Amino acid sequence: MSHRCAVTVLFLSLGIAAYGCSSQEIESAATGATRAPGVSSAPAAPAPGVAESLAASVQSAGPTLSPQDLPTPVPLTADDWPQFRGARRDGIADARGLLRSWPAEGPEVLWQVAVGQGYAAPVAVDGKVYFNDYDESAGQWMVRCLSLETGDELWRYSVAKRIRPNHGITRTMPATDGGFVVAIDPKCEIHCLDARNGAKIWSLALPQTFDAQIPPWYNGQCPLLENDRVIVATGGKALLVALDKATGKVLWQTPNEADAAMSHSSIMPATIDGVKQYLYTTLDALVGVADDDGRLLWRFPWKFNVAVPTSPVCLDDGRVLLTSCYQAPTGMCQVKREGEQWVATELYQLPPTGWNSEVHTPIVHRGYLFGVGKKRRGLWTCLNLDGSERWTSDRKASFGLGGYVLADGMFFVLDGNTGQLRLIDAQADQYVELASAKVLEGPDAWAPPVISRGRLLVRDLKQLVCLNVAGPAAPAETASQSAAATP
Amino acid sequence: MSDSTRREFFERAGQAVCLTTLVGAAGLVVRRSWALDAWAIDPNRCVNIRLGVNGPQSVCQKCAETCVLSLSAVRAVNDHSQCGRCCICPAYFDVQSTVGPDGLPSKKLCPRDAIVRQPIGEVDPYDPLNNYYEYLIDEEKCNGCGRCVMECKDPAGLGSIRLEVRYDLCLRCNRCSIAEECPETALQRCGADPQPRSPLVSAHA
Ligand code: SF4
Ligand code: SF4
Ligand code: SF4
Repeated sequence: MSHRCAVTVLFLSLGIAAYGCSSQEIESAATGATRAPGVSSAPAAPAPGVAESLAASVQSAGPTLSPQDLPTPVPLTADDWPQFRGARRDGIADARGLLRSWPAEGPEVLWQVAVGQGYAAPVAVDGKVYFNDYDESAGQWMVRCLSLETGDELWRYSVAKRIRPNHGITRTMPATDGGFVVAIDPKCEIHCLDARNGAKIWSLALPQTFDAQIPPWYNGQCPLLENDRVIVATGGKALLVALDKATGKVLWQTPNEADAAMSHSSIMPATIDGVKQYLYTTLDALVGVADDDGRLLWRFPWKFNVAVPTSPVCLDDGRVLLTSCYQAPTGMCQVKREGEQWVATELYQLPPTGWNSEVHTPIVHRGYLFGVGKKRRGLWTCLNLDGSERWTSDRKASFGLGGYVLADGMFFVLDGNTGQLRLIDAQADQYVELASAKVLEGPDAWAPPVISRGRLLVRDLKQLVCLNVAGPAAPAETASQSAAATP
Repeated sequence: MSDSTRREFFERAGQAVCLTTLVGAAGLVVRRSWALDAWAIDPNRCVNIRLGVNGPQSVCQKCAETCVLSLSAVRAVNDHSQCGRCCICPAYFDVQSTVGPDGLPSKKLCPRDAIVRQPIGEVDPYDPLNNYYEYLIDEEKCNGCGRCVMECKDPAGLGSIRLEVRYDLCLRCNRCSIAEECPETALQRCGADPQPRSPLVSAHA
């Protein structure tokens, strides 16, 4: 169990590395070679209008890469899962032709690799798998790149970083466009890497740069990579910041007038009343931030408790669902623009005994909400948008804190306690299980499953496993039917 | 006294002695098996301990309120081998209270301030919210109200804090007054020599 490991590591590692002391190296799996990319001591030039102190804290990979040396993003396809909750951040994969049943032993296991304790799910683009990891014996935080086909390691980026287990160590996913890979480590340093070889392009430590507080249980935020920008929440001196993907320079920042701390929530892009914006939940509010310059558009007070691991779910009409852990209420607010003013009003708030999702962000499908509810230890639940329950998996299955993904009209849902994978019919008006198999040892199989090219990637505390879920007739066939899948 | 009368007398006397011995022995057995029985809380019945019941509105305080002792023989006990040593323990802090600038909830949960929080191991001042803490229960203060127990279980806690009848304090009443009141019949006789506590049943469907 993690707490036992926690104490062991605590005593084993006393006096090893001082906080903030880090060095970096890249190992090429193909050659076994190790090379130091050379961290430049010269700060990057500040962006116009941005304080020099911010720019000075961005570390680039040696001499600033000239534009022709920077990696080129690959065109994303429906087969790619480039970031947290997929390309649209809705938890829905566009894969088609997937298996609708499997034998008792489960789908074929294609490969598996050992991983450090945590809950960090991978992303997969262009046949490559990227994930955050930690080597406790070496004290190295890593981003690892594997071949989706074989599981062979293509490269690993390592940084010496002392991170003691605190209910696991890794818990977030990188974001990639196939050229750049952006990851946030548990101590809240952002690392931007070259997807071809894992070379560092730049890094930015949020605690040192923005006086950000490292959250309890470490960073839980997955970065948002959009076109040429990385959008992250910082807390401290800023609320949200947009960074230049190529340099890490701050393009805009949202003033943090409410002095909000960084939560475990991830930023969700949304367009409300024609205005592109970023939604983010702090410990005491939901906020909307303008996409163009980072100004705060609106703020909707909402009392979360201690931590917010879930992210806001925005519907097409500006309604936003909020749900979280530690007995925080689940509710819905309506965001709209009235002239030049933005207004956010509460539509409902469920009672303390009402449904809530503890760690995962629900999925919207066919005009309903789907997710694992905390009540009665993790029932799979279908809710109306007004928060009333339509049906649950009561007396059939429970899922603890397991993660889930929707693909090809089926929910792939993990039992977080046991590693049992259940395939649930997403079109049915009741709980209909199509198949089930124990695919992980558990415990704590909390990472959301990922689907790419007919492969299902799942993990528990110790193993990342790749399963073949492509149907025989149309392996990995995909179609972009996202519009049909969302209300 | 004739021979037959004497024989009758000795037979009757023998029967009386046997009967008295039997009754006495039976009485002793009954007395041992009832009066000296210990009482234990079944963790899979007690609402404060069992999985699947959450929230302060569900706390049962009967153990604190109905023991014959003025300070209940039932106490919260923290099994340190199972404790996550979190910086923010939901059994120590009132997680619904406002979080302060230090990142910690501003109020404690225990109404009797019976839980002591102290850092253990290396303390990293640059990452104060991820240091380790030990939570000790002051048994001079704890009355077994169960609030901390309700919080220290799935999904927020690891279930290291439980309510237990403290055998060194319990009077082993013939009829445990808490057992009379317990809404879940969770207090049960467990013989003169109590067994180690039973594990929680985690399966659920
Ligand atoms: S009376 Fe029963 S249910 Fe209530 S706290 Fe005691 S053992 Fe638990
Ligand atoms: S059982 Fe009640 S009195 Fe005892 S430590 Fe827990 S909250 Fe405090
Ligand atoms: S047996 Fe008596 S002393 Fe022991 S817990 Fe029950 S009421 Fe209290």
